[in-house]
Amino acid sequence: MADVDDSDLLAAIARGDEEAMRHLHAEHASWIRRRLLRRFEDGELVEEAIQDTFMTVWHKPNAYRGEGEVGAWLWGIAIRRLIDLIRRRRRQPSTLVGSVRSAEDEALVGLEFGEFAGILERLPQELLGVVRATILDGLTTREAAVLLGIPQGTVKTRMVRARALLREEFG
Amino acid sequence: MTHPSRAELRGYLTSESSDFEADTIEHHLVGCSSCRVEIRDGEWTNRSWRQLRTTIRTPPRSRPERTLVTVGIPNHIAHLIAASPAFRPAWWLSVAAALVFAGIAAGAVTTNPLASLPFLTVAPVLPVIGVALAYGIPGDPLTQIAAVAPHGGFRLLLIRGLTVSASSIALAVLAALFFLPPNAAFIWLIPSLAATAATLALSIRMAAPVAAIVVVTIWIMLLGATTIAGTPTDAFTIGPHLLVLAIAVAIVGGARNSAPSSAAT
Ligand SMILES: [Zn+2]
Repeated sequence: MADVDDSDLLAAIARGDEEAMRHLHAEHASWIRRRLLRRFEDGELVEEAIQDTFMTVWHKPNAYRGEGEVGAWLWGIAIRRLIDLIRRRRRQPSTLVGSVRSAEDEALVGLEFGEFAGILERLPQELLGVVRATILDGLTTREAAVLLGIPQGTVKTRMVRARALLREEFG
Repeated sequence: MTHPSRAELRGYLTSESSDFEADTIEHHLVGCSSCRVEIRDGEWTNRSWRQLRTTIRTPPRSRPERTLVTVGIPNHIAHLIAASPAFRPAWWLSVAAALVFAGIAAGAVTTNPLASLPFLTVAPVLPVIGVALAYGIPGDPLTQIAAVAPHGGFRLLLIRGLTVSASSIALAVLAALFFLPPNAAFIWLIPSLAATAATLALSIRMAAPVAAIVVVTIWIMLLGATTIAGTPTDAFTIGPHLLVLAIAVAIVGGARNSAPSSAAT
């Protein structure tokens, strides 16, 4: 199959090219949906998040600045759209959704996938959820709290424990 | 980079892989097009795309519609109201023109008590025409919706008819203040409201344009009869009674008609 570059598709979408939009959707919608469903089991909400995500891309394709994979950028939009929908359903005020991590978040995270992949299996389930949300999915502690349905403070204490375990493991 | 095997990808889709395997696969999918193709759910993707395409192709909301939504009117109702002739310049222009001509004709002979008659004749007719227009303008997609949906159709007509009539009556109030002597300025108002209500009620039983013609005919004949009798202002007291009677007939008849048809669906 001919590899059409995702960023070329985004450039075409910026010109209003519906066919380019169809290609981008076909390429990414399915895996993003799978990944969202693994985070949050409400299929209806996930469908809505997917639609919202690609509508956002249709209206603002230029928000992609050419940094990193287009897939990673799309995922960032999708998981935040989902969190937004979850928050709205629970009628929590939508105060945040800055996708910018605070310095505190950075200190808690500051790890790459490869660094902890080896011991991920041995993390207790409750810590794993928090690690996945913050390190793998790139969420802030506030966003992770909404996704996991736990207080923000709990996210932080679990991250501290997870990091301690990781440090032990690496010596 | 090493790709996960087909078996591993299948395990991911069926939730049989371990958390660690699944996390690794997800990390890989972000940057690997060939594995994305491997796990793509084609049927779901098509459905999702069709839905997305519909949204993309839907024209953005008009300004009146956006205003109505911000004021707190539900989306679908705002859409119906915004699509009514009340938001078309052509409608306002024609109502204004009709009122001005009638007003000028009335103002020409100020001493005669019958002088206001052209205006008084026209004012109640305009909102009725508005209702007929609200029913359907050729080429308006909402007309087809009204034709297909039996009960939604009347609600649609009611909402749109009321906005159109309200707009014409509002203009008529302004025109009356300008053209008519104070003692006659508002005697057309009650017949206007009654004529609008009668047209809407009759629309339960017949097409709105036909209902409009019936009401206008009743109104003109009544005015003719009272003018011949030498007391044209009687039309403004008898008229509402007659039109209310038309409403009653329409509603009683409509109730009897609609009962079996709704049972049949
Ligand atoms: Zn691969």
